[in-house]
Amino acid sequence: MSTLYLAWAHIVWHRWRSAVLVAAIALVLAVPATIERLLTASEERLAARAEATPLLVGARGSRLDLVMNALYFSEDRPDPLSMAEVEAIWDSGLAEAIPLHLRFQAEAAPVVGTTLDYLSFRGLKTGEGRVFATLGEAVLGAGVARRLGLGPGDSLTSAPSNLFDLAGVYPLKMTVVGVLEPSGTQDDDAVFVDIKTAWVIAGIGHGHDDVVAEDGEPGAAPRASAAIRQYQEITPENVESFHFHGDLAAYPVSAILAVPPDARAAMILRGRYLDAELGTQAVVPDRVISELLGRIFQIKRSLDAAVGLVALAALVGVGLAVFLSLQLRQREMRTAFRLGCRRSMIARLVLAEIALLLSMAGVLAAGIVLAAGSLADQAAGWLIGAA
Amino acid sequence: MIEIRDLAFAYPAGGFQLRIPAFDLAEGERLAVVGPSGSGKTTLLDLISGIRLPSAGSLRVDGEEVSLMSDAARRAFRLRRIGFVFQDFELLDYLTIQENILYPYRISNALKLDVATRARARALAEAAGIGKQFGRHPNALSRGERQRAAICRSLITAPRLVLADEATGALDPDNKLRVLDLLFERVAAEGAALLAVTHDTELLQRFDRVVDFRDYRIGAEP
Repeated sequence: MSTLYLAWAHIVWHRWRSAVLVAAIALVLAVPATIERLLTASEERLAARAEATPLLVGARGSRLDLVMNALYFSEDRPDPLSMAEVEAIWDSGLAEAIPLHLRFQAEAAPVVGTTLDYLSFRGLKTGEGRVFATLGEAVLGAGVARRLGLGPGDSLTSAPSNLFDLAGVYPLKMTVVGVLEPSGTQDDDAVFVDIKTAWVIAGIGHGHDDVVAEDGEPGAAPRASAAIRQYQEITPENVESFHFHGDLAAYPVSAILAVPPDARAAMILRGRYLDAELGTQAVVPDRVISELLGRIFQIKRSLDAAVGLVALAALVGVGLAVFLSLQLRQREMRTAFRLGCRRSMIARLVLAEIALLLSMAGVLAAGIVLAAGSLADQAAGWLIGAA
Repeated sequence: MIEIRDLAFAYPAGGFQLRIPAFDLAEGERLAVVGPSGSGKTTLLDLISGIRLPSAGSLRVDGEEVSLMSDAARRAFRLRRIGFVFQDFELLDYLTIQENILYPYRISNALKLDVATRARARALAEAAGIGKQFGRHPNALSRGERQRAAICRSLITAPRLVLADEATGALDPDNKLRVLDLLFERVAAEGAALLAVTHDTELLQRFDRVVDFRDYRIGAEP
C-alpha cells in the first residue's frame, strides 16, 4: 500500500500536471467511444423508424429529402403533392393513406399536419388530455410539452415562415388539447394538428368577419375590403367562419405514409409509381436509410482512422510526459535506492502512479461516455436533423 | 562497528583504485573523514553501506561481512542498520516532513509502520526543533530545518551507524554548527556511531577522530 500512498502523494502534489495528463488520457479514451455511441444511437433511431414505415409516397425528387422530411421532420422541403394522391391511394384499396403536411414550426418544433390515423399508425397515445378534434387544436409531443412547459388548456403560436412575406403566412394561435406519452422518437419533438389546421396556417384556409352588403339586405352582392378582420385564433365562436376555397383535392401535402395490408399490395402499389413520367414516387424508407447509413459508416471508418492517429499522437505525448517525469525523479529514485529500497519497488512506485493516472482517466472517460449516453437521444435527434 | 582490512576497490572502467590496509570505527565513535575531492570518501560510504562491493579484502560492519551478503540482505542491512544524511538533504518535496521522516518505512515492506513508529518520528522532530513543521512540506522550511528533518529520517530506524556525506556542506556557518550539534546529540542519544565525510576543517575538532583519506587513493575517482 505504501507504493500507492507515495504515488498518490506525488499526484496530489503535482495536481495540475496530473489533471492535464488525466484529462488528455480521458479524452483519448472517451472521444472515440462517445462518437461510436452517438453514431450507434443515431443509427438505431434512424433504422427503427424507417423499418416501421413500409412505404412513403411523395413528389419525385430526392428520395433522401423525402424520407428525412416525412419520417424525421427535417427541414428538407420536397415538392408538395396534392391531396388527390391521398384519395387515389385510398380508392385503390392497396393501402391506408396518411397525409403529412410539414412546412411550419411552432416554438422551434415542427408542426405536423396529419390525420388521427398517423397517431394510431405510430402507436402514439395521449398521456394528458385528448387528441385534436377540430380546427386550431394541437397535440404536443412529450419533449415539446416538457421543453415549453405546456399542457392541455395552454396555447402556442405557429411561427411565420417568412417575416418579410406580408402576403403570406400569419401566425395562428393554437389550443393545446393533449400531450402524447413519450415515444423516444422524433414524434416527441413535434406538434400535431389536423391537416386542415396546417392549411389554415398556410393561409389557404381562413376565417374572418362576415362579408355582407353594407345595407345588410339579403341577396345583395357582398363587399370585401381590407377592413375585414381575419382571425388569427380559432375559437368556438369563430370556428364556423373558417372555410377553404376551391377543391380540397388540390390542397398540398408534403408526403403520404402508405400502409399496405400485405407485401403483395405493397408491391402493386410501388409498381404504380415506377413510371418516371409521373410526378410522384413511392420509396421504401428502410432502403433509403440503409443507403444513408452505408455512406455514414464509410465516412466513420475514415474518421476512425483519423481518431486513431490523433489518439496515438496523444498517447505518445502522454508517454513522453511520463518519461520526462521519470527523468526528473532520477535523484529521488537514487536516494530511495541508497536508503535500501529495492529497484523493483521503484518500478512499482512508477507503475502505481501510472495506474492511478490511468484509473482516474478511465473513470473520467467513463463519466464522459455515460454523460454523452444520457444525451445520446438528443444528440441523435440533432444528428438526424443535420443529416 | 566498522572493521576494514586490506580492502581494495576499483571501478570497472579502471583508473581509480582504492586501497585501505586498515580502517576501524568503534561503537558510538564520531569519526570525520577528510580529503580532497576524488580521494574516494564517497566510495568508502558506498562500500560500507553495501551499495558497492570491494574487489578484495574484508569489510565488516556491525559484525557482518558486507561482501558476503546477498543483494537483498545488503538492502535490508542498509535500511535497518545504517542511517544516511546527504549534503542536499534529499527530502521529497511532495511529502510532508512527517512522511519524509517515515520514508524508509514507506519504501520497504520489511519495516512495519505502526503507531509507535509515528510517535518516534514526532519525538525525533520535536527533539530536532522542527515539531511545528511536522505537517509542512520541505519547501516551506529553511535549509537548516530541512537538514534537521533529514537527520531525523536517518535515525528513524534506530540505526547502529550514521553515514553523513557533507551533511553541513550546503548550510551557512550558523546552521553548520547547529546541525552538527544536533547530529552529535541525536546520534549519541540513539547510541549510534557516526562517520562523516566533510571538507569543512573548522568542524574537525568536534569529532573524536579524523582520518585523512588522501593516502588511500590510487588514481582519480570518476
